[in-house]
Amino acid sequence: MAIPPLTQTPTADSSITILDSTCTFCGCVCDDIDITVKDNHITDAKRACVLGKAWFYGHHADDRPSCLIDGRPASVAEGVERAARILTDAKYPIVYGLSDTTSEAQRVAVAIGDAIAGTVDTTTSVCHGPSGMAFQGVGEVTCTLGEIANRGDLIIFWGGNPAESHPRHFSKYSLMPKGMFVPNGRKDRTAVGVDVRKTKTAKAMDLFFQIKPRSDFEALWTLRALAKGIDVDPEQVQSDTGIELSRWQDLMNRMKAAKFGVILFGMGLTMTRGKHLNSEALLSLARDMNAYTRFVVKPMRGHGNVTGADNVVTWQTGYPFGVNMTRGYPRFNPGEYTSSDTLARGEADAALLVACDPMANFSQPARERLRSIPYVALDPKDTPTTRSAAVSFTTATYGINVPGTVYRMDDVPIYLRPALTTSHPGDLEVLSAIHRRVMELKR
Amino acid sequence: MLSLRYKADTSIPVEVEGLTPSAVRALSVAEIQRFEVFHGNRKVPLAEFFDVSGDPSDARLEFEGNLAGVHWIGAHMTEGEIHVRGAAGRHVGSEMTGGTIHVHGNASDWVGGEMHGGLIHVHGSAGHLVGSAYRGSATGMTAGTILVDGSVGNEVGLTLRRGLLAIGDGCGDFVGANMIAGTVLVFGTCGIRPGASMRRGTVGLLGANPPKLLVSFRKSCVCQPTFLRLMFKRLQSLGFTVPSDCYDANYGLYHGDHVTVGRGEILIRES
Amino acid sequence: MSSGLFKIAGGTVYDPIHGVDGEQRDIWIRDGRIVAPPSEPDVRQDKTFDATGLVVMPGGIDMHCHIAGPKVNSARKMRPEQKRKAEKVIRTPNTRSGTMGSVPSTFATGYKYAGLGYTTAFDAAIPPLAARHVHEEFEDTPCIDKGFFVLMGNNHFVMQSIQRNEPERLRSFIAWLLGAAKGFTPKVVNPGGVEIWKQQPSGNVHGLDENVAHFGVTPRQIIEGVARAVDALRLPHSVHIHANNLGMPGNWRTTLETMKTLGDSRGHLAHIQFHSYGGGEGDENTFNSKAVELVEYVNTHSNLTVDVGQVLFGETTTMTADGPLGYYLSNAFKSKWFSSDTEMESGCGIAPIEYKNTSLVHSLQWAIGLEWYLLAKDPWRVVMSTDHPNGGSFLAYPQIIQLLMDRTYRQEMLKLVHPAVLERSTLADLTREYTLSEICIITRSGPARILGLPNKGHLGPGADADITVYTPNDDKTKMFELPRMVIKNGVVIVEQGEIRQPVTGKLLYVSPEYDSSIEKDIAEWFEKYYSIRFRNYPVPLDYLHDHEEVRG
Repeated sequence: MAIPPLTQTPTADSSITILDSTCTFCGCVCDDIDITVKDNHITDAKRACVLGKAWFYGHHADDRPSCLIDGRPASVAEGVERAARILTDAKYPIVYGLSDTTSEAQRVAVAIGDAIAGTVDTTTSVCHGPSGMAFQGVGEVTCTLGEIANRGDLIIFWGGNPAESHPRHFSKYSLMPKGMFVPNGRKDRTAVGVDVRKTKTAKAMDLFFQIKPRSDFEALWTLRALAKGIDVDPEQVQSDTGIELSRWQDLMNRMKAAKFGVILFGMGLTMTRGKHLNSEALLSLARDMNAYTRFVVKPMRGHGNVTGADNVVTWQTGYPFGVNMTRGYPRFNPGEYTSSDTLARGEADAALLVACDPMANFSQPARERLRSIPYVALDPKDTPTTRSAAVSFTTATYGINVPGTVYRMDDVPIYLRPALTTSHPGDLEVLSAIHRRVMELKR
Repeated sequence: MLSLRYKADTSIPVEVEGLTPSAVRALSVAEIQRFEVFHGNRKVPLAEFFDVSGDPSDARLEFEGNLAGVHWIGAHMTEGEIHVRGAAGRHVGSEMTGGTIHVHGNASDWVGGEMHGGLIHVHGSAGHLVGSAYRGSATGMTAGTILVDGSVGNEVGLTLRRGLLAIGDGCGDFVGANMIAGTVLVFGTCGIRPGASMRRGTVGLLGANPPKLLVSFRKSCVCQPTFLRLMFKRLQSLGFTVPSDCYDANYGLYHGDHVTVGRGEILIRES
Repeated sequence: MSSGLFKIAGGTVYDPIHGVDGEQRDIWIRDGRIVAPPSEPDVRQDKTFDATGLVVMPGGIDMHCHIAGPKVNSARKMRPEQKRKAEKVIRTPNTRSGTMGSVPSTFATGYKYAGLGYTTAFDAAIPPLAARHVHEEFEDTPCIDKGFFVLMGNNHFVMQSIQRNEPERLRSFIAWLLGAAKGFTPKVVNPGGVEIWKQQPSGNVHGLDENVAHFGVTPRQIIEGVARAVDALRLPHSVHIHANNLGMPGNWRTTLETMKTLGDSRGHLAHIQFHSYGGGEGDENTFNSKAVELVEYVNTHSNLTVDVGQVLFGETTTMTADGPLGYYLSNAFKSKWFSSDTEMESGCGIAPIEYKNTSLVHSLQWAIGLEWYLLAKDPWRVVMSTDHPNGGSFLAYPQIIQLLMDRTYRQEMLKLVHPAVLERSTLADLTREYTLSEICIITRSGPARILGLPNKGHLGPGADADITVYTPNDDKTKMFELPRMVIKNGVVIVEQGEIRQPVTGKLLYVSPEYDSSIEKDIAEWFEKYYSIRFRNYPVPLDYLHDHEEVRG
């Protein structure tokens, strides 16, 4: 596998600037960050947003051991050996996480999952997995972000708060850009927000629909009905959604009049009652709208390379997440093979956790199970998950210390330009070593 | 009758896919004991988890014990009878084309997934996606009957193509979602958004406090459909309890989902 | 002392490029290449395979398929239900597990191609913005050498250069773009049509002289411009064209116009079957075959090559850079629909479909593909393809071979399709049977030549040692389904259907010279409209795994 060298290797006494570096904090994956490095610290991150700045400035060289076994320092080689044994001994091991690492590392993680006959799942399953399921039901009409910048004239933000979760989204992609067909930028666009509460995003909108909590499905269904010209009961619409029918009708009129409508949607849809069927309603609406005008949707993906995880798992196994390989071939069934479920039901008996923190954010039964089984964790940070691991590796941070490929929220692949050196090994190095040892043990 | 007494104590999934009445009918007990099943990623002989005894030649299998962690019971079966005296795991009767399965306890998710014939009767409760399509399928269950005496979860009868589902107690959200045809009858309470995207077929909500329907459904009349009474008789004959007051009740007939073809019906009990 | 030589002894060799037509020959291999027989009498080979009585051909080349990249991956993601029911690809100690269906996972794709004796495949349509994705997937597609065609027919810079009547600028841009993506040749898909689709609901072009709004060019100008640029750049393969109006009754006229527009420029028309329809506009009832007319033109114009795009009955997934076509198909088949527009470059549409032998249209499509093979005079310019998976899976190639070689089988199959095929096409009257040599040409030697790959498609000294050995069988489907042995770069990778040693395969690309002063121009345009930085767009050589530059 070709791993290009670091593009610039800083020396201790000079300050260098790496142009067009990539930030992987959120799904925007901005690749126009100019990083200034001095003494192995990032001193400037031009054009980075507040989240990006925290990302770039928050990296410090540390002298934590690269490997701990049962909480005690060990060599990486010893850790690899122990990790390989834990994983090959297991009857129902899971490989989970994968979103905050490069696709090169993700590919090896899936290879391990295959070799140990386990189940591979990514953080997609607790985030936009439902959108993936909806996609499998009805398909999706979408585009790359530059299309939105060049053509989008009606931008709807549904169930998300990009002003805070993806701070440069408006300026870089969805609202401000002076595009080929929207030469006046913001002035040529109408921004609409739909959410259950008024967030910072709401303030940036021209129109805002504060819908009743958990009524996204009903709201989308109302719009679908209006698109088709079906008579609907105004009282029911009001009571279902908290918004008068006339406002929905006005929105639908605008949607039909748009040249290129866009709906960007978030967890408000995927993680509330209805989940994948909420997403499916939205994807269906976009499809319906294409009979009248050009209309696209985009799920607002979170972590820097969760889209990469989807892509890698799909091309290697055929399925995007929650992929079980315990019987020697890939099987897919969200709810059955997704990690939060296999842990909560006590089914997983070992785990390889890469760049994720289930000990901090999974359900109680899942956390209890995880605590009770041997698992291996890779993470640049010290987290509740790494602290309870049988083997934990402190790894280099992707995009900061090590290069690799990541996929932006619209599936565009971008290469990372790392800025700092570290003594810690990268995920790719550790996973490759574990994979090699697993293959030896399995023979 | 072949008796299979579950003796394992494991939380790791046990998968018995392939263990059907036809598959073991002509085998000796010794051969059946060596039948390969999966314990997680390990292939193990059936005898490791079950005490096997009896005679399989009448195509009747009796499982006994708490089989909540045993999956694919009766999957792909074509004939014969399976009884589970205890709980059952996921995918009970998945893609079966014939025969009968009785679960004398609760079953987990995906009971009768993409079923093509036969009968499943869960005497306890079941999980989500009873009689449903698996992810991405354009068509779900195409024939057969599923009876659940207790309650069930969400997405019952998802993309149902044909067949009869009867739920004795309550169901969750999205019953009959994306239905193409067939009949789903819920005798208890029902969650929200029934019949979303349904194209044809019938959903009967016969319990108390029925939910509001989606705006894309329209009421057409109140009636006492004869076919319902015939359905009830059939259900009774299969050993499913139909409350007596259902027979002469009035039903509001709603058509939808007009966001799609809109030739589906939802019947809601009004008296 | 090891000679490093591997001898394939006494096989019945087919090597049309060298005029070898079923003669008993030895093939010598060393260091991954075919070499001349040793001149010294005492040199012994290290390894011998006795191929007596077996058929030996160069490895197969699929020059038009869809196997990698964002479109293919979205299709995989979209069809879990098909994968669930399909053949299981089970992990072995030296192979990865995977899934099949009409869009196999990457490892499975490589193993299955190799299993059929194919050793090279080209993905037909990649937006250069996604090039890195393709390179990553290629690295996970073992056993075959790979390359891809770069979408340019709706590229904004291309259209702009044509509108400004600046052929040199266009030429430089195309050269730069091919090198930036590490692709193989420009691909033109529904030129202008995809851009209109992006601008209007159900937007498309319907004729070669329609104006592409905002860009002021016509499809004809795009075809002409790119074709000329490719020839001026002396690229090994010509421009590769998916003509306008794919699938529409009456589209044969568009196809003929496209061919005429090419003039003397080289041009390859992809999946020509889908472009050979007579009939009234939009009127399925008058749908008929115009293969005869179009084959006649190709027969008399040696600058043109085609691949057939054979339809097979059954379920499959259509996936195309022709965005509006995807929408049309999804509505026609009432299936789920994926569409994605790539900024500045292209579109894509995916929809599951099913070809039924009871359907008049589908039966005619099946027949028209066969007509093309059987009517074409020059097998060197007609290549076997199913436009995998649009017409069907590449796994159907053995069956197509039997249809071409066995007239009786073909007639039996004709009885099973819609009877209208008898009146609306000439298939029933075609008695030709392909010879093994001709099969070899349309599946390996011809595509190698058309692609401009000097080391492929033949068994002469210097060739890559990509060799397939078949056990002769009157049942040609069986014969070609299960090669006795497949060798890739001198390594035995498959034996009797089992993968012995999966190799990675290499990336074949071009990197034509261009005047670098254009880069400033490109960068300016790029930074104005693209959503990534110019600096991050090109793929450097060290990103690639094994690679080989092919020169024209």
